[in-house]
Amino acid sequence: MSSRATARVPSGRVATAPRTAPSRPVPRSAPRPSRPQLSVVAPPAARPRRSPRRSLRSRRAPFVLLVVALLAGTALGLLVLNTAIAVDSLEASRLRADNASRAQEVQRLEQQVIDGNTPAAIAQAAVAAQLVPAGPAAYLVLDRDGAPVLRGEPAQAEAPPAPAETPPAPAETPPAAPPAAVEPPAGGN
Amino acid sequence: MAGTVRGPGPGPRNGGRPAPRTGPGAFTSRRAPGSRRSGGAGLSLVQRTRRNRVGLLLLVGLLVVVVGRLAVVQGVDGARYATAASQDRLRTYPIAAVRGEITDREGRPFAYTADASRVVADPTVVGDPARTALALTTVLGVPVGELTEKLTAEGRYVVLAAQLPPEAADVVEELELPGVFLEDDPMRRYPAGAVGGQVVGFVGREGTGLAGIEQTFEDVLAGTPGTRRVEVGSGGNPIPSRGIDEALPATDGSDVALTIDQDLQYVLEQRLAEACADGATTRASAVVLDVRTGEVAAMGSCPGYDPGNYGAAPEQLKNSTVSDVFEPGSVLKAVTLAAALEEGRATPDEAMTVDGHIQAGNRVVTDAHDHAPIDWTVTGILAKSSNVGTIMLAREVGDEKLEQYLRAFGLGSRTGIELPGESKGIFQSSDEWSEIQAANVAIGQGISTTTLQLASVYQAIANGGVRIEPRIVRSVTSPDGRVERAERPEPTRVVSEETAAGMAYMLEAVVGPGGTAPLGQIDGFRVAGKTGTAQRADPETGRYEGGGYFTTFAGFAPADDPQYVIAVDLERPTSSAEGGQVAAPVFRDILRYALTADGVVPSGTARPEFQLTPTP
Repeated sequence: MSSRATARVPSGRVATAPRTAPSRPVPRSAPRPSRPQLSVVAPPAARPRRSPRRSLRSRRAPFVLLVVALLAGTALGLLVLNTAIAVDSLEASRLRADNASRAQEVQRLEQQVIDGNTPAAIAQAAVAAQLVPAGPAAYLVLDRDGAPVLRGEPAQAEAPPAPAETPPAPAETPPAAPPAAVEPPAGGN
Repeated sequence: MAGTVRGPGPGPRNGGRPAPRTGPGAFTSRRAPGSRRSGGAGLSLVQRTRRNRVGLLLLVGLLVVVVGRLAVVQGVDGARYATAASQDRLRTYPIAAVRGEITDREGRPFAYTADASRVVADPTVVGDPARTALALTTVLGVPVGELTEKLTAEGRYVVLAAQLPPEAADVVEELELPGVFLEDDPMRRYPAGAVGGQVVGFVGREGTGLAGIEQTFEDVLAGTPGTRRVEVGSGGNPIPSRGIDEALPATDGSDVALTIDQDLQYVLEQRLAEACADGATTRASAVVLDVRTGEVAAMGSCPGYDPGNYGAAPEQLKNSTVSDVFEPGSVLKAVTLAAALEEGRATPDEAMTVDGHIQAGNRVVTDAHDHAPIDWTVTGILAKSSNVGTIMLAREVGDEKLEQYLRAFGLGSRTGIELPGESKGIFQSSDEWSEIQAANVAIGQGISTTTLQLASVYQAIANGGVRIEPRIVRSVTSPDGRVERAERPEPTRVVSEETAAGMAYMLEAVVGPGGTAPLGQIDGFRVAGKTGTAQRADPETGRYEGGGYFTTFAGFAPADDPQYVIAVDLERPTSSAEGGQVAAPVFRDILRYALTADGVVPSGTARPEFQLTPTP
């Protein structure tokens, strides 16, 4: 390495490096230097040549450092990104699993609601709560001239003899609503 | 490489190599050890040149072959190899589309699909069948013996349990048994059980609808399954991230909302079950229609079935209200009288002298109870359900006209309701009628209808003479939430409004004092209807003798502002009870609930005083 550097310096660098020029005028004329000339160059060059080499090295150093830093930075960045992605991916799958179990829970609860809302279930619950089918309801409606009129005769509900599976059991829910819709005008009565 | 360059190099420079490496005698010394060149050592320049050319050609030829093959592999067959390669590492899994719900008019579900799993095993992978069976027996609810048998079976795929709820599936998953896997196996649930079962229908093992709405709306409910393509590793497991994972999402099925009211349906079925339990009734059907729209509010029959557990006899897996026909009997006299009114042959209060029997061809038709000639109004004829009076009126109308009216009321043709297996009834055209047949048709014998057709006849009368074919689907909601209302059939006018009003008046007399069905009356409401007690042909002998009766009742309420039409028919092969005694109470109980639950205000007017006999 060093021998090639020394060989090159006199031949190539002469014109560009002015500091060496005054001390070594010889090489310029000879395009193909011979061995003796080379051997002469070596010893005295020790001191002055340090500076160009060092300056060369010092000039290269930031670049090398930059490259190394870039490489290291990239590698590190990739590592961090990769880790982040992996962490997020784990988090995502954890959340997905969480979501799935929640969805399952929702479905289970919905099924419970649906099962409890069937006519048969309501009828059973009504019997269990000792509810009886409603008797005929009376309605207060407004006449043509605005006077409230009673339609129908309200009667007290009677307990059915066999409450096990009587049809009108679910009646208690629906009839409760419609009368309310009809009654308001005469609600004060 | 260096050799080839040197070989064809110019001859004259041979031996005149650059000084540094070639000392004297280097030429010979280099040749001697090189076995490569020993063969050509004695060749002349020309020979060597030729040899070089041949070598070059050979190499070029080989190169051409290689490049050509490359072109074939890459260009011509490239796509094939690429797919073969991706096939090797890509797996396609189906994504099941969730089948749509079937709900009642208020959105209460009749049928919906819930997540469930199927437990399958690969017996070649299962290490310890006995231990695996023991671990699974309680959670799957399958006996150990059966499980062990399956786990030791030949083949690589056995189903251990189907339609396992998610909680149980989780337990199986946590057991981490080798060779035991879970697969998606959605479960169709029918929360209402037998309520509306015949309308809703059921799905088969493959999840396709086999009856009822499940069958007719199969395309709508099913949706389109999607697919998921994933890149798998050597073990066949999907590569979690960065691998190919593309999904074509499934399009879920649409929800179908029926016009049925679940509570009313329940009450109807409970009441029919009660009727069927009386010991004499083998089959009972009832249909409730909304008068204004022709929508089916409830329909059912007993015996029915639970679509979630339909293992019973296949002949029961039908909807009797649309697929079974029966001779309606006197209940069809309403059509004959409507025809007479519309044609101007009679008015409700017109008096007629009615004999106890009438000659029809070579037969004699009598009234239910033979009597001496008596004066009745047309209303009285209907209220007393006089066969003779009705036949007299039918003869005035004429066979052809009568057939026209019967057909206009929807008899002899399908209603077009969205249910499978609908019968159009049995109805011969009038030019084929014999005299006795003509007389019979007028009183509802020798003609067969479904319960739905019968209800539709009374819907037309109740709706001021405008018939709307019954429909049972209210709307279809696609998965993106768009609601598409079902198309309504065009209303058709069958009889004039005056005729319809006249019919409503006369039909009210049937339920009134002196009529055949006082049991059909509901306190506070004005009810109109007609009984029917038709002779039933014994299916074994094909004769009416010993066949028992079909007792029917059809009517509507309130008579002054009709809301609901109900048709009831009971098949009673061993009983001679009349429609007014058996079918009318069923009609009354269902109607009472329908009116009360819907908040129908009791009639504000009193029932008119009917003239059953002419005033002297």
